[in-house]
Amino acid sequence: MTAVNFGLLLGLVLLAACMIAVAYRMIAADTDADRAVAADLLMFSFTGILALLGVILAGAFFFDLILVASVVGFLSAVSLARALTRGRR
Amino acid sequence: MDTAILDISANVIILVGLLVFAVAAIGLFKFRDVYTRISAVGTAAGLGISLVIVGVFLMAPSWPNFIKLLIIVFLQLATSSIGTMAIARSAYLTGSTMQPGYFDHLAEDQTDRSETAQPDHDVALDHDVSLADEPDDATAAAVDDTVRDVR
Repeated sequence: MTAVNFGLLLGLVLLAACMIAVAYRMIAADTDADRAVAADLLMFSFTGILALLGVILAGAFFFDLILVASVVGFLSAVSLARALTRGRR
Repeated sequence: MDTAILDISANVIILVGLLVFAVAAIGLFKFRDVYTRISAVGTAAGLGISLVIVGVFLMAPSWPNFIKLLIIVFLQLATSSIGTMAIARSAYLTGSTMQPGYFDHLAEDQTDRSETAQPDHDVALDHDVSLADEPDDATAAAVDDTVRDVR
C-alpha cells in the first residue's frame, strides 16, 4: 500500500466508529423494531469493513468473501423481519 | 501515473460510500421513527455498499474481480430494497407507530377491504380481532373463523 491510500485507513476508522455507534444503538433501543433496524445496518457495515480489510491485507479471495457476505446480509435482513413478527408472515 | 489516478479515484469513491454509511448511522440516532430509520438504512445498504465495493475494485482491478463486482452490485441493489421492505412491513405488523402521528392510511384501507371481502389467511391483524368483537353479520363470523384458524 502506497502513501496515496488515505481513504482506506480513514474509512476503516470511520466505519469502525459507525459500527460501535450502531451497536450501542442496537443495545439501547426502545422497541424490537429499532433493534432489527440497527442490526441490519450493522450487518451491512460489516460487509463494508470486510471489503476494506480485504484490500488492505491483499487477500486472494476477498471478492468471493464480499459476495458471500452480501448474500448472507440479505438472508439476515429477511430472517430478522421474520423473527420480528414471531414467525407470522 | 495511471495507477496513481486509479488509486486516488478509488479512495475518493470509498470515502463517498463511507459518507453514506456515516449519514445512515447518524440518521439512526436522529430520526424519531422506525420507518424513517429503515429508509436511511436502505439507502446505506444499496448505495453505500455499492460505492465501497466499486472503490475496492479500482484498487485491485482484474477481469474475474470485474465479474464478481457486477454480480455483487446487482445483488446488493436488488436485495437491499427487499430486505428493507421486509423489515418495515414486519415493523408495521408488530404495531410500531409513526412518531409525529399522521393518519394510518394502510389500516383504513385494510378495514375497508375486510368489510367488503373475505380477508386473507395470512394477514390476520389486530384490527381484524377488534372487528370480530362486534357481532354485526355474517362477515364478522367469517373473520372470527379466520382468526381462529391462524391461532
